[in-house]
Amino acid sequence: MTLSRRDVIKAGVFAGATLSLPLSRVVSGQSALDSRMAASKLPTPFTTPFAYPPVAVPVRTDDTTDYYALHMQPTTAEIVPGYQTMLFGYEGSVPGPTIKVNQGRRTVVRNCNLLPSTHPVYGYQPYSSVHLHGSASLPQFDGYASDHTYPNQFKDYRYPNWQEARTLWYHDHGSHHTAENVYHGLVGQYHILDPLEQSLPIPHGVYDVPLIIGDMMFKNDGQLLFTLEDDNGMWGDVITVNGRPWPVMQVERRKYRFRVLAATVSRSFKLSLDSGEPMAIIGTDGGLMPTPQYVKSFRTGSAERYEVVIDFSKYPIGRRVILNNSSPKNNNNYANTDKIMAFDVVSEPTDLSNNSIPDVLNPGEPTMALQPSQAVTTRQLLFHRTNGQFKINSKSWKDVENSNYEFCLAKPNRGDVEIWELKNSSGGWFHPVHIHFIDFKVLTRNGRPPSPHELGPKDVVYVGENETVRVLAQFNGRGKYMIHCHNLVHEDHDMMGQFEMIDPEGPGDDPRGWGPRPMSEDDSSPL
Amino acid sequence: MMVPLLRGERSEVVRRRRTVAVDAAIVLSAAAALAHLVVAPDHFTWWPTAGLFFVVLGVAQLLYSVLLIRFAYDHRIVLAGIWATVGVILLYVASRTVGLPNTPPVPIHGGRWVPGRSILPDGAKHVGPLDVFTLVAEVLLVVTLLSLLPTRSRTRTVNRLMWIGLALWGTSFALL
Repeated sequence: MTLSRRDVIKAGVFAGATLSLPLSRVVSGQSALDSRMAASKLPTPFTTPFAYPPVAVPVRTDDTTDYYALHMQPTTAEIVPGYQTMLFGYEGSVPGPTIKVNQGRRTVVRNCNLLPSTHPVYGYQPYSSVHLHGSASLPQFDGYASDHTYPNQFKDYRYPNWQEARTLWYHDHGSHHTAENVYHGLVGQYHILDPLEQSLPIPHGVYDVPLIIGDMMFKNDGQLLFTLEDDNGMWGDVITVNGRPWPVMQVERRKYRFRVLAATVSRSFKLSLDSGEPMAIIGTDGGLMPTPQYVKSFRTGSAERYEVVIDFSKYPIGRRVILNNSSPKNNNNYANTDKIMAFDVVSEPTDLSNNSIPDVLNPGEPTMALQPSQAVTTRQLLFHRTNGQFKINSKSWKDVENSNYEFCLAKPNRGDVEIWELKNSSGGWFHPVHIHFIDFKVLTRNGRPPSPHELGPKDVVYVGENETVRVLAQFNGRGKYMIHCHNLVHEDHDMMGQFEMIDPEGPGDDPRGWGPRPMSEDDSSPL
Repeated sequence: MMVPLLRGERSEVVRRRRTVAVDAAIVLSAAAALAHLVVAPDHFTWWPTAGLFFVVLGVAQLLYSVLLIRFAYDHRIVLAGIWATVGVILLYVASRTVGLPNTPPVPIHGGRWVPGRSILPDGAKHVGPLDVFTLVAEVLLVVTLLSLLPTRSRTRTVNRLMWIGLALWGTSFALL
């Protein structure tokens, strides 16, 4: 018995429907990309002037504390010439204003969610949870993913600032929508300054420059296009620095210090100068490195911070120096994503103070002083994808939610030093892994020493394809904190868990125990 | 092979050699079974009922493979296999399009915010490589089993499948 041609056609109607409809998700993703703005309409690299993010001004101060109010609200910006793009900003700015604080002074930041109740394009409710990335905050002020502040609510976050000088950044961390909220602009830098860092003759003041690198994609109508690429990630075709597309910065013939932050949803970078000259890495996520490292290029994933000194005295006036990106693998690249920004050398220096790089920066950096022999245990954490979900050791944030926020991937004792082995078993994607609260020292990558630019205290480490990275940390805290992939699409889908630092003197604070309040109480409860 | 009598056949023992189509149906049913058993543990973590369903389904498809070895020319067995497989396929299509009622929230939310011509509402789940593999195996199983039916039964069955296919296409276009 065989099928006639007519039978085959009739069966084909059924087969076609059952195969096509589930796969329409792929088709729909493709059609979303079809609405992408034509490359000819996108900004031309190096035609937009560079801009510093604004600096936040406290609403008041007292003997111990600076008080800030940041309002998350929709704003518009002309990123593509001729189009106004709706973004989410802090205080109307994308990125948000930079908060600068001296070590030892506390800060209270009132984060007010004035976002719409529903995103006008993507249809989700933009609740927030603000994470000060790099801060050893108490659990209830750490931006716990399920500690939501809904539109028309606010929450006061208290930050201790006892840590050494470093580049931190604040960004949204609300469960399942971090990617969308960060993509729309809810990011900003936060600098802790300390006497050691201020005493060093490294560039300060206007020569100490935040570089918040992002990537965006636009629809034909100029609005942001967000695609999930089958939950792999989100890669834009426009590179932004401090919210501006491929800007050009005018520089003097002297050294500048750039606080490089990849505030992308997914994209990673390998940065280099077109001149081939080396750059000096003087700081990492957790602050100054023991000694500067000179590299011709370095790799950075989402959320990593590097303080980089570029010496423009090597170039004549009139020379343009381009910061390039030779993209690490498993990024989606477009015509101009191989470049970041340009520097035009325009004048002799007006100030030659703080224009050097000492051979020794922070020799006593406590995390870098840790030794593997101090470790009391080694834990393995496997970052993998199973049945469409990104997981850590076969667990996701859903398991944490289902356990009423009790389930933990690890429970180190307070004060213990441990080695954590972070393993990515896939060749299809990389994971920038972030461990909250602590700083760690990168010990090895696939058994080999870490790259020179990683020889400083870190809180995010690039776990590349088929890589196992061993890190060493001391857990000097109490309570529950998150660990997750900082590819925000992976984080949202659900590669996130938590660990708890156990203190015999008592439990940590409840990370959801300091809830938000309605905006109607904003006036009656001043900072 | 001993083959049960079909309507209209003469009352005598018929021996037939197993055809390529029968072998293919056995392999396809076993392949679908293994795929369902492989993903069962993950579905347990999402919703134990779903995990149990996948185990039962996988075992049933394995048993059906064994059944085909002996009864591939019993059109009642073949018809039962066709319609059971069609049911599984339709359940899958529903889970990836309109979503299944009374199931717990899916722990991923991908696809919901993708603009464009998606017909996928909230709750639609991920379509992964193993999903596609299993779906293709099951669709091929249905087609292969059709070829094992006698002419009259085959015509009636293929017509019904065509109408189901047209209904699916019509519904999807109506939702666009």
